[in-house]
Amino acid sequence: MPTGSSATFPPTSPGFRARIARRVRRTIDDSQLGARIASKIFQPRGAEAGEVFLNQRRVFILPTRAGLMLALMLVALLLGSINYSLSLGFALTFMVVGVAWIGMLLTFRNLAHLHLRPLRVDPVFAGEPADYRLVVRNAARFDRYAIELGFAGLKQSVPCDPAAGLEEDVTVPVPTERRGLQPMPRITLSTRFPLGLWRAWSYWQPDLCALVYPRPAEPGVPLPFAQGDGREAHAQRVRGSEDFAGLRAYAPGDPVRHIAWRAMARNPDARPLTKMFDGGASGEVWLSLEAALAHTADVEVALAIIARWVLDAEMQAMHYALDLPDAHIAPGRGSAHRAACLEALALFTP
Amino acid sequence: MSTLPLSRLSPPSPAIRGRIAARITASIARREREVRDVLWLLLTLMWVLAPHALALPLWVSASVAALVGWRAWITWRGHRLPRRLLPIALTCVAGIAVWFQYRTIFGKDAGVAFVVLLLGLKLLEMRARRDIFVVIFLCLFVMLTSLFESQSMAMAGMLLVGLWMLVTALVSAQFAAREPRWRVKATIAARLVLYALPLMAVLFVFFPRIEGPLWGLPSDAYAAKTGLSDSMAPGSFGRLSESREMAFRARFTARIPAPSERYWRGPVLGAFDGRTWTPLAERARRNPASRNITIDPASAVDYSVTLEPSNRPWLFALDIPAERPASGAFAARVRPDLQVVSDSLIRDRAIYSARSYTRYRAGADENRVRLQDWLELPPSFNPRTHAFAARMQAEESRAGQPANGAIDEARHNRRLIDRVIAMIRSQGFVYTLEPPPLGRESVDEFLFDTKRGYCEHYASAFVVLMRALDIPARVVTGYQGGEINPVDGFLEVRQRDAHAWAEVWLPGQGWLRVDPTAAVAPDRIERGAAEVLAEAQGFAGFKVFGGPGSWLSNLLQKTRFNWDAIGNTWNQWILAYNADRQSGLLSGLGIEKIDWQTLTIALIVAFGAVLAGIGALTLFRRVKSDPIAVLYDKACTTLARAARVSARSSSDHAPELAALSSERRASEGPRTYLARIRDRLPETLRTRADATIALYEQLRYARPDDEGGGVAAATGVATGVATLRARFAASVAALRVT
Repeated sequence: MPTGSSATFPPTSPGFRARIARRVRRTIDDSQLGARIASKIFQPRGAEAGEVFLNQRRVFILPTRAGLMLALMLVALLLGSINYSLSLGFALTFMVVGVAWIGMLLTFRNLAHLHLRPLRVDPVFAGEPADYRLVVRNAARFDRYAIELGFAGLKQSVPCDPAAGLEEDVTVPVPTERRGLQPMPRITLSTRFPLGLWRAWSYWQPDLCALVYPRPAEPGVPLPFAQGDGREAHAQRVRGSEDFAGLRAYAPGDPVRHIAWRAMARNPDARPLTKMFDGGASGEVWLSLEAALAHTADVEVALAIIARWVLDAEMQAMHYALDLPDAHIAPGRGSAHRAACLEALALFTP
Repeated sequence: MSTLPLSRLSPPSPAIRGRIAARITASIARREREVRDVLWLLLTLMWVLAPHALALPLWVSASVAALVGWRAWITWRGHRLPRRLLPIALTCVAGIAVWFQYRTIFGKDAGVAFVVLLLGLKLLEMRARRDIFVVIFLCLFVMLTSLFESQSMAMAGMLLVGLWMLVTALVSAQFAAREPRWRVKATIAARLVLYALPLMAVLFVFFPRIEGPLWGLPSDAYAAKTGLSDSMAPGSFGRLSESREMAFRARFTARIPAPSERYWRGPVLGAFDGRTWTPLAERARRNPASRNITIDPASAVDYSVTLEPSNRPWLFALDIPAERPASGAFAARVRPDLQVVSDSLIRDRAIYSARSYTRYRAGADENRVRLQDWLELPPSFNPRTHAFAARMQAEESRAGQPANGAIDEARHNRRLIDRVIAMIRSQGFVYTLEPPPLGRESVDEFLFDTKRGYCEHYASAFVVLMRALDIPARVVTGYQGGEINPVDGFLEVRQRDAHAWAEVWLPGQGWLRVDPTAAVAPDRIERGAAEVLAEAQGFAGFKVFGGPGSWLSNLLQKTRFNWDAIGNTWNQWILAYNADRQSGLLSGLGIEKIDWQTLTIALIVAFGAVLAGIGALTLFRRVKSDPIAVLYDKACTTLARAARVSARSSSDHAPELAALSSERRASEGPRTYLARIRDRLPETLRTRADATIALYEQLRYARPDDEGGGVAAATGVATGVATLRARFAASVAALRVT
């Protein structure tokens, strides 16, 4: 994943444009002058905090392939009009030229003067897509349509159509691979509206980092109970904790998987319910790097195992503490505790 | 590190489920939209092809209609498109079929047929967005070719509507997630077209015009036009008499000649084969013609003519054109028989200015040998006419003195002419459009049996009789009369004004115009063909609704004049706009030197100016900021400043902390914000801040039955809100003072 503000520009979409962009980039890379010109034109900025206003200088516009095709067609129309002295043919040709130019103006207008601001991104496990949420605000008196948000490597860009005077919440899913803080890749906003003959685009690097938890190891690694703690008894209790004990009203913070989805499906109007399990709150387990390293030699794998333990312990409603060389979290449970533990795992530097 | 499927981590979260559901909904919506877009495109296609429907061979129109119908059915029923091979095979078949129809696939007509078929076949292969572009661009080309059929205002209107439909189709294909209603799309497209109009006008005026053609035109580029031909046989003018098609328009600079003077000279015919008159072949003439013309300067008429394309080199000029007409588009010359011709065929509307003299003496010193050309008659035709001429010659010689000397001869001949005219006038001749058919001896039969005919019968019979009387004579064809359009002052001459008359040569006087039709139907000359024919035939409903002069016919006439004046303006300024007109217009604007550089600069400046104007209109129209929101922002910053200042002075908090937290956070509502900073505000400000925030809440959130709404209910909602707003404004201002 390209991170941060690179001075070069990743291709905006696969295919033709990518090839062109690669070639342009190679040419630009070859000469210092080229780089200077490119930086003058595209003005690469780093991550921008807060709301960003897309002023005229940040919006670029070029004809699309269809636009170039139309240009050829216009030449044909003009030659036909000249050859057959069709006065109305001239008018028709010029009319199409006029429509194309107005189209350029409107394509530019569709993108320029947008207000952009990062909203938030929920933590995810590595391998899951991080949903970066951005707000696109249209302060103009006209509706905007078909603005695509994308970045290099995203197959399908995310459309957004902020109406006049309104803002729209856009979620850009970015794949994650490694745990840690993942800054949002540089976004390319582009639009071809209204004619598809022009493509206006602009770059934006929002100041938004996703917290990526380690990808949990596969289930099956037993929880590290303290020696002499009565492993058997614990196992008994743990098993008991999986017994369904009843339902209660959902309260914020309840684990999502404990929500009684089936009951909700039966009666969608009722308040959501949370499933209660027996045997909770009795176990206590210390999750430490050493315990995990007993199963593996790789620290990353060890962190994955700990992540799995955190999930297991939370599901079994046990109290668990985290003990890392740089972070110590006292025993506890609940979603906030779980999040704190996973965050510590995500940000752990060996 | 082992990987595991994410589904084992957790069941699909509500967010993911929502995403899947949204994707399914979107795909259904996308499919519906595709159907609508394609059907609209097909409708547009039909509109664009409509002008061609009748001009193309039936099988082409029928196949394209079938292809459009097939595509509509496929789209409507959601069937799959045929395999790619089918359109390719059908394209080959179409090419071969076009070749069989036209024996070529190039050329104008064959090319149009082929492009139209291609467009139909492309529909079967229209899969991706790119294909929609191809279809739309092909439609533009087809629109251009429909101008071969006509360049009328109606066609321009059709093209404009067609362009709007095409742009709507194009716009409709560009939407992503949110798709507005059709009305919105149509409005966007209409706005695009509307804004493009001024740009089009600028390009139309300033774009450097090059006179075509750029390459050899196919032979069928100019189809035959209705109009005068270069021969005259019985019936050839009658054909034209129904045609309201415009022949040319003339605008007189000063004097407008009387209707009886409006003889517009065209081809001069001198060779007769017993039935048909044709021009005298140049090589048949034995001696150079006399160029001796005396004119009366007081009878000069200056005018300019806008000639409709005729695919002929003839330029029409009022009798007689003594000087060459001037035009930028072609070179004109006056032939010895006083016909004006251009050096090229008139294929576009041409404009020229000319000067004619209605009183003149032409060719008075014509060579006797040369005059023999104008005396020739086919020997074995019309014996009765020859006998009649001989008898008349004998009678005249007996009555008067024997002819010796030019003056006597002229007098003698003049008497003969008068006798013939008197005969036509008195012996029951009738002017009609539907004369009985004539046999081999056409002049004999007309003069002595049927006595019914149209101008060509009279001119032909008269000239034959003159030649039989040994008087040099010729047929002149052209137009006579025309109507002055009171709206724009142009004289409109139509095909039905086509006329044929005679010229005879008298010693010492040269060629004199004699119009035998005037003898039998003086109205035709005085009032013009339109009225005479209208009376004779109940033309255009005049007879049904009352004779000429009734209010209805006046209204009809007025409407027609207005319409023709608009049509003339259209022709003058749109269709006849060429390099010549362009330089004329631009020098009127003060641009002296007109070459392509000047034009390009003018074009860029004008285009830029118009674009900037449109840009100012369309770009950057911000939402009008809400005055209440502005006031509220002011109130909040005032309160934050006050809180900061008083916090600093009381030094209860660290100044930085106070500064940081006294600003309203984005997440805070008015009440929460006030609650947070109220303690930090100076005592004096607190109640006022309470009142201000309360007013704001009322303005924003009060229901009609609330206290603030009570004000609204009592005084009407608008005033209520206005009062509240005024109070809020005052309250905010008071905050700031403190």
